[in-house]
Amino acid sequence: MSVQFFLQQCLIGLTNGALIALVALGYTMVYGIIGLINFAHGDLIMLGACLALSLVTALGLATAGPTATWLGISLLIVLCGLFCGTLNVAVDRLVYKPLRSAPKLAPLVSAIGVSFIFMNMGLFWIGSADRAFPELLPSTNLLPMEGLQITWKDLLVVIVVVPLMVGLTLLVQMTRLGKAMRAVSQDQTAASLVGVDVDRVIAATFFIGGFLGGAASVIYGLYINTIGFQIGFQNGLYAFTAAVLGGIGSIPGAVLGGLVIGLVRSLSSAYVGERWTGAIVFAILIVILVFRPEGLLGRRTKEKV
Amino acid sequence: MKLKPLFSKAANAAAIRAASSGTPLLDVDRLSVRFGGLVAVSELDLDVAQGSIVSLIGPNGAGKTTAFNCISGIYAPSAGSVRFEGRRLERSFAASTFWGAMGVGLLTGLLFAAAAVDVDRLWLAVIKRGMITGEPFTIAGAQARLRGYFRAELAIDQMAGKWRVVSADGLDVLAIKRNLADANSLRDDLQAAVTARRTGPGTVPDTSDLADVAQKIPGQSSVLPVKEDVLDRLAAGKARIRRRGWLGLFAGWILGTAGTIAVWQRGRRSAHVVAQAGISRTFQNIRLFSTMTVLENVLVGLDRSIPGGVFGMLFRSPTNRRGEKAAREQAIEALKFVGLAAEGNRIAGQLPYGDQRRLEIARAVATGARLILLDEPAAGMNPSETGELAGLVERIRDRGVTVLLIEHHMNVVMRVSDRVAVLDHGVKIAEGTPAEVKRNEKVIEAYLGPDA
Repeated sequence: MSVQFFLQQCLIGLTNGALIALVALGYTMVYGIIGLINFAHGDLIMLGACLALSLVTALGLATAGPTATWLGISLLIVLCGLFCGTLNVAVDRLVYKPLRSAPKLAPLVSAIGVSFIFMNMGLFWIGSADRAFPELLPSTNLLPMEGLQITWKDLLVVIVVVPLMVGLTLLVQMTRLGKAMRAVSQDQTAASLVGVDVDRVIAATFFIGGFLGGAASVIYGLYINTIGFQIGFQNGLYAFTAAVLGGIGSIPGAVLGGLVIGLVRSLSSAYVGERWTGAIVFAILIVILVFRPEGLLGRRTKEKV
Repeated sequence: MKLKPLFSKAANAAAIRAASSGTPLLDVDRLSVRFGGLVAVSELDLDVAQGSIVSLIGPNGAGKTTAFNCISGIYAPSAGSVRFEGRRLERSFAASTFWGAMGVGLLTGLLFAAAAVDVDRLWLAVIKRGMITGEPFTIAGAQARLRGYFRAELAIDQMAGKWRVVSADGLDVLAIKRNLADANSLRDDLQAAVTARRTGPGTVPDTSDLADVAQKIPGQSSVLPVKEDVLDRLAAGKARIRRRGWLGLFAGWILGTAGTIAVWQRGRRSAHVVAQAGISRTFQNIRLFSTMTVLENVLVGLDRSIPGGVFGMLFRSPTNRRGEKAAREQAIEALKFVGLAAEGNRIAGQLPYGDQRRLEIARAVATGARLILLDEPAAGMNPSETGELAGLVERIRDRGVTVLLIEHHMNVVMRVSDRVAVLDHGVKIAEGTPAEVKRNEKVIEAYLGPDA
């Protein structure tokens, strides 16, 4: 149990956490804007991973040279991002939009329904058995020492996740769309009455959340190397937990929550044991929520008088 | 690229044309709103002339705010109409609506058809067989197999070192051969028999061609005898699947299109359509974006005037940058107009009450609206603030913006209004100049009771 071992576990936790955070952003953005827990988000990412696997096979990336591999990975991220984004918008248009003025439970139950539909599509697409995702990146250690290793896979997570998160923050803070998104999340009626096209802003939010999820699906495939039609459920649950832990509706909160959960998972499986991981993660979640019900970075919601 | 000024000449010209041709800017015609059995507004007629200030007064619960909500598109009226500049404020049936409905219809149709033709076997016929026999997957190949499935054509399938002649969905095994060439030639002959059955409608099954086929099967390698009724069953089953598929496509298409149009119809009157047509409003209980800054609040009102799509925003295209800059200037101008220019960077929720009201007015003004609905702007203000507010309302009018006002402070109403309409229990009981309304007995009765 050396320092190096500890650092290694932290590193694994942080990369895993960054991946969880990318998924959690999709949950938190949609919740922030229409107050819907989009249970279908995890399964959307599973479909993205299915597309990524099909594309890897179709493009023959498993046998490509290094340049072609990197180009291929970038292409995968863009294509899967567009696929998941478009699919997410389509679901919003077809399922959630007609229920906009319905009680909150109606879209929630519909989201669970969509989740099952996606899961069946995935079952149909790749079958019921787990499928191996080709190892496109070498697992050689980039650090000149024993005991602590960073591979291209870990770097890939950082290379993809950090710019996406910076871009998202800039988009929300600086641009007109971001202002409109914040306005809609606070008061839809007031926003639409001053001329903001609320449906378009919501569609944009779904697209961005879906795009991030699509990127996450590619990284998931490359990093974990196994996909199956049920990965959406488990990973979606962890990501949703991260979003709640960080304060659902808050973008930095989702990132922080993802990193915390990633760290807790890797450290508890290293020092306590794999079989305790889930229990420890959720026990910590409960403890944090008892003392900060609004999440780590969430705002206390004001009661409307 | 220059932004449309807040009060564009074109818009003003349209409004002036409307005014000179006798159409009022806002024409509320026999508007009724019912919530269940409760009648909130009953047959309200109201004309608002361009460039005027019209007040809507009445005791609490008279239906004033409901009328406002109806005009601004939050509620749909139960009966009657609201016209602005002679137009009904509804989403128009655009080409995109049509194509959207068609697209959803097609998608639903395909889903229904897929369910009806048994998508699992279709999948087997089109994708999986190619994988089993090691044929490379090409679009053309998949199309050919898809056609084969619907035409009840036959396929070759590999199984334990032998080659089987099977129906496209792989369910009917017709013959088994040891080598591929034999299987192929048998398949071709059987295929000819199937095609003959398909192309000759109503013909009695001809046994001679099948007898031919049967002779060609060398005893040893033929494991299954080919019977005539197998082919008939195959053809009949496929005809059924084709019929079911077309029926599913058609039914799904109708349902999807009709459903989309029904949903669209329900959302025709939406608040942002009304806002983009040129009506903006404030609220009785202030509804600012309270965690955003004062300037950002006004900028949200200018949202639709800024050009540039998502990529323009992400990469700060020159058009987008100029648009944002111009919008910022307009927002500052609107803040100056209400006297909040110095507060631009404060968080809106931290402003004092009166300033929040003025910020809401600035946000409404900034949208470039030609009609502004003010819902009790002077609520909770002291006399000096009320006086200031009356001045502000008059200055809005002086910019060429028409104002429809709900107010309880009679000194404001009497000072600024060109016309006053009085509502009581959802019914308009009087309308006229402030002086006329003040003398009206019905109004006095409504406010003070019948004995006064």
